[in-house]
Amino acid sequence: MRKPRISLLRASWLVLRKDWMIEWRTRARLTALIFFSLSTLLLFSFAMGPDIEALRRHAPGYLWLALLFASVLSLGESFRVESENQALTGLVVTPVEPRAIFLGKVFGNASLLFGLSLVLLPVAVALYDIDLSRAPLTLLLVLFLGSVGISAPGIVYSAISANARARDVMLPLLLFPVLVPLLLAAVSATRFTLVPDAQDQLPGWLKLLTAFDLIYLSVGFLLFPKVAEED
Amino acid sequence: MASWIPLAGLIVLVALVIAQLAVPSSRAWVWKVAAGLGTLELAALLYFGLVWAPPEAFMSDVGRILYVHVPHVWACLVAFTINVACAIAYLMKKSWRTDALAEASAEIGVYFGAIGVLMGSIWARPTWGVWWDWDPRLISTTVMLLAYVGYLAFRSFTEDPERRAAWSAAAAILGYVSLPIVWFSVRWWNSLHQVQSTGSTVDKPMRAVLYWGNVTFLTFLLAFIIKRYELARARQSSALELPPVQAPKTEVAV
Amino acid sequence: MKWLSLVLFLSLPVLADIAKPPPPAPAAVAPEPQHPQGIEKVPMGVIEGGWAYVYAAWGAGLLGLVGYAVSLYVRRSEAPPPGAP
Repeated sequence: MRKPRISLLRASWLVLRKDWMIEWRTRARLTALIFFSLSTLLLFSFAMGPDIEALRRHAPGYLWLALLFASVLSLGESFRVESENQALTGLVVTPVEPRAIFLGKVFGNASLLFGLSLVLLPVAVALYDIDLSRAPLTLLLVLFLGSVGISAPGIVYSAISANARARDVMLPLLLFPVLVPLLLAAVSATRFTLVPDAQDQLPGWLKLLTAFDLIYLSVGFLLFPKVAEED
Repeated sequence: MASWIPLAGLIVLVALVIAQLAVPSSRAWVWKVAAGLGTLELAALLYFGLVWAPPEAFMSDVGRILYVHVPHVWACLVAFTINVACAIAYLMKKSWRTDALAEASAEIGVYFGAIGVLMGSIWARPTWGVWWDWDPRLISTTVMLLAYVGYLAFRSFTEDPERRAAWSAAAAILGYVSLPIVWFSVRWWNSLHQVQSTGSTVDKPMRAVLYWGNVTFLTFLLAFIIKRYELARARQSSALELPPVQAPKTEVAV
Repeated sequence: MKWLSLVLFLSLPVLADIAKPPPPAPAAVAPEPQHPQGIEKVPMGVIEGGWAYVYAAWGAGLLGLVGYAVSLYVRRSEAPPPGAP
């Protein structure tokens, strides 16, 4: 392995900043992503009909499904911008560790999803009549952990499916099965920040979320150099 | 059926595996022996499972599905474990042989898993009253199955053999890691709603038949994997004339 | 995969057959069910019959074995002759 000339964290930060800059310069895409997930939320509400009680009960599920669908788009884009002009090759041959690319991209994508969820929350309040004031900080923590959990395996899958044929189908096909436990944990944890948590189940789900994040961050951290070195 | 008979079958099976791995000259006939042995064992399983074994205490005759359902899921998990071991081995040391074995075991694991989940669904109908339920075993097997269906699709949609080998190895590891997490998350979710009674009260003769079923389908697993592996190797050599990845001598014997 | 889906498709009629409403009502608990080992007061709810399910499951297993073996046989032309290095 090449000797990194700058520290891993610094390099990750640079990759993260580069991704943020790209997102900012292509604001139109960002706007499209936001409106895509907003319309997803709206469609769930239409599909369920005007039963506000059912909507409120299932709101965490709809919120996370909207984020999940949006994540497929953002993850796909995350490497598409790199494969144009062979930018990823450029990124890999620079003396930046591939692991720094992984960390930077994971947190870049997670911050995007987290920001998206912050936009979606007020809309969810309006559509599903949920009560955010019960445990707002815990809710933010859940949203952040969930965003990281989607991004950590998602970035690895996005990297490997970016060059496959039918990559638009391939990414969700590979990613969704792996995200089943995350979806379970995130939906449950979100639910218990919105409704009374009678049996004190929230800590267990938060632990599961954290464990998922840590496991996939470390597995991705180990695997990413193997999948990126070929480019 | 005495309880030592499945053990004897298992020993024969292990001997076949060792022969296949260690004695190159045996590779022409091991799969034939495994297939023939599997057929005989299957005939015995039909008798012991459907006629000889007593009806299960709680589920009566429906409990006989156990003798084929559980072995299928076992064979599926064994195949996926072989697959992920090959994936790790490939990432540590590139070899076309481990890649071919990974491809073979993934496809066979999907086959056994699909049949096993189908049987589980058939079984769930009379015992739980539904075709599908939040049982951790059922859900985690299904999630695993979906991950590997994606894996196979990904393999067939990637052209470059070297990239396909490395990338699908990474995909396999990521998918396999999710198995315990799915298990725990569904179990925790379940604790909310209901606790599924796990039929742990399997009597001794039933356990012997169950193990016999496991041996039977593991024997078929061996025969299938050998043939599928040969097929994968043949495809590799026709697709790329086998260029050495690193150096020819690094290939491990499988 | 092609063959696997074929096998699954072929087993659909079996499923459709047993999908008909199961005639006996297992909820109707027989008077004083006795556990074979003599454990009393255990709600047993023994399922009567159900051989259709057993045959469906075993049939799926057998069909699957045959189907997968056939699929390997069909694809054999790509494989080297037996005993080849």
